Amino acid sequence: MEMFGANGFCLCGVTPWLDVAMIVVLCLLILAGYPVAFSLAGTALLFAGIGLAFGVFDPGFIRPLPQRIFGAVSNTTLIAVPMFVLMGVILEKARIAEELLEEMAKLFGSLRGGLGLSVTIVGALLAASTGIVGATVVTMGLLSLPTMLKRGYDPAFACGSIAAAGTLGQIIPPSIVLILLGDVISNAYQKAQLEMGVFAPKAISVGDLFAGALLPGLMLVGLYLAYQILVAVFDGKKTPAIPAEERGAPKEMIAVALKVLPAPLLLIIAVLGSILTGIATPTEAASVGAIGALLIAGARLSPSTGLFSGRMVVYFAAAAIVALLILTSFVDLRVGRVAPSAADQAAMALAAFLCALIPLGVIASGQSLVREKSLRPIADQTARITAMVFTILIGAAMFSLVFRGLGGEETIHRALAALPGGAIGAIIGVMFVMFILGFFLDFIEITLVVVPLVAPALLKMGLDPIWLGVMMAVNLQTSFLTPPFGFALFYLRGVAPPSVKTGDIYRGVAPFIAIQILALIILAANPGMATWLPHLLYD
Amino acid sequence: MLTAIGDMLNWAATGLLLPLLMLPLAAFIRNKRVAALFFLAAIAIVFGGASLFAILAADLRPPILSIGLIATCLAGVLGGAALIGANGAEALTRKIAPPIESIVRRVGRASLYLIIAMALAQFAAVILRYVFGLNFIAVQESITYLHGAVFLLAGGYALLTDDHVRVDIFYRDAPPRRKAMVDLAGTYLLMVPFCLVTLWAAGPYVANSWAVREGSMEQSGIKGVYLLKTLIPIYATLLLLAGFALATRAVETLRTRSA
Repeated sequence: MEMFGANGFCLCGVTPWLDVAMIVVLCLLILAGYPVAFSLAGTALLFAGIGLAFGVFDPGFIRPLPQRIFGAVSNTTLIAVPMFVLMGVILEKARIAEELLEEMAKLFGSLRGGLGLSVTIVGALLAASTGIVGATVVTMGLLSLPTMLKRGYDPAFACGSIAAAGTLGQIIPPSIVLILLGDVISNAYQKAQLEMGVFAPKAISVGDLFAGALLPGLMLVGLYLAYQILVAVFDGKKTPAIPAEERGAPKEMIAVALKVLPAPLLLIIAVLGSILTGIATPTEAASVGAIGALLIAGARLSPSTGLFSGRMVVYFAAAAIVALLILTSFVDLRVGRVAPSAADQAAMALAAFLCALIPLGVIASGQSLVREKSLRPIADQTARITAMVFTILIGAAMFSLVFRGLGGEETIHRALAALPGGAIGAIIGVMFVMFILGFFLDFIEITLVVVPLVAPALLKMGLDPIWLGVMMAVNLQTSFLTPPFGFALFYLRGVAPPSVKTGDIYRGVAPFIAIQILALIILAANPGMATWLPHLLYD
Repeated sequence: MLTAIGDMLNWAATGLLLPLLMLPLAAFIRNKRVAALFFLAAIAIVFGGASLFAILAADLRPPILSIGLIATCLAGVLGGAALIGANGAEALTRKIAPPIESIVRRVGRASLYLIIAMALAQFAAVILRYVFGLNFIAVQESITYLHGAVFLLAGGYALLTDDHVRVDIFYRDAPPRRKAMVDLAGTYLLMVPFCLVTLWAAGPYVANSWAVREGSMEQSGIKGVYLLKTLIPIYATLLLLAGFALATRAVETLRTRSA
């Protein structure tokens, strides 16, 4: 590091610490409560100014900022973010998520502990759509907590189940943070390999990370369910069943469940499946998810009478999509081939006809959403969340540019290398720091600010990028659950009735934190859990 | 040539936006004449500081000392001061805040339609690709354009609707006065510098793109990359305008609560 600046004066002993000071000041400033994106960028500029004055910062480091912003525009993987946000918001605003939760609760309510199980399962399903901790915790806290309390559930147990299920959104693909994390880790991996002298670096994709997170995510769901079942079996007072007379006839229940459950389930399976099998990119799958959610919402909201009324048209469109899928897997429909056979031509004509049905359904769904006055709020919320995510991305870009300019990367490398225990010591250190940061920062910010700084150094030590990404995701999820600062707890406190004590919430999440730590240990001991599926699918 | 024009536009934007941003601060002062003087002094300090930064950061291009440009900025600043002297800063702020806020909101709401269009275009591209084996680069690129437009145009809007995440451990339960103080200080110390630097850094970047009318790398792509890049300074400008609205609200809170 240059001690004597060209045009500055020496404050030897201070300037080398600017990068560290920058992080400390950021942490303090961020607590004041100004939007994080601008706190990041503003702190960076403050230190860029100090660095300039002392002659230890080259302003050329700020120059690539417009390129970075344009990078966020032109990165096709990141387009998946607004698409998944749109899908989640549609499912939420059209009350599909709510219905899912209610029906699931009725279905399982007859069992002891059934409500708890349904919260976990719906949390895992919703996770697949929104992936923003707050949204899921708030939705489930508002819908399930009052029901669970009314049925005599132990408040601590109910709160713990809801908070834990709400954080599943981070880890179970396709979550938005996993998309961002995948992008960041893949850049870090390229960089680490180049620095190690590998000039044909291997790439990892968002699909890899999705595949890697799937088994650990399902393991967590399994562990949650196992714990809830254990409580129901051995401590039944905490989790009473809904009395038979309030449940309604089983036949009716199953009929309703069959009507409500399959569509969202199929949608989620289709979206996730097409990404994991590598058929579609996350962005493409996300757009199918968004349009699919639109059709489901349309089918729910349209009037049901008449052949050409809204609902039938929507059903036709959905059927057309399924028929197209079947058709295209048996017949080669690609236009522009040399001399397709007559049968192929007929199939193409059929496909074109089917395609014409889809816009009709989409328009009908759009119309019924407009009639319900919910299309505008849906687009509005999607635009605002998207702008929020990408503004953090831009602020984080500014922060990392200045941090690099002040020599911060070197400092982090040295600090990680100085930790005892080599790669294991380094990863334990990083995990601990991220856990603490998880109290103050959201997953998105940590992914965009901290991961790019530490991941190249860790990957250079030979750690597997997918495993590292999944470990980070589970670790942060744990952090969001941990009192007193966990994000999920704040959101739950915000929507829980006053009769629920904060101590109840803390006591309730404790077993789930133990489960998280157990999962982290299992994952650390068996990296194969994260790497097996990606290798199986993509190698 | 275009680079020079880009610089001029940048400095003209700064020349207009900075006086605007100083207004809410001047609104603290009840005496009209003192407010006008404060306004002039604040502009001088900020311009001086910004110029110093720009000169130190030689890479960000020092201001072009065109007499016409300086005259325009000066006229704007003096005109602002005169208006403040005549009407009082508070009345003036109250008059211009609503239209500015509605500009930011309107632009942000335009992106609502772009979101729907983006989802439909992407879905259409999927059907064309997977069913019919057709790839249209223009369609693919239009999705990128829509995506960029959505978040760059909605950034300021999201600030107005308070959608940018805050770490609200302390902020959430803070009294309105303290919240207003955080918003005011944050806007001027954290957000405004960021937007200005973005504007300045984007100037040459966008101008170079205009100079060659930068288009797609692909033969059949959309020839409008320079327009897409122009959204970057527009993003920063919208954020500054939203910041003005936010600061105005904060000042109003502070004034009414202290009285």
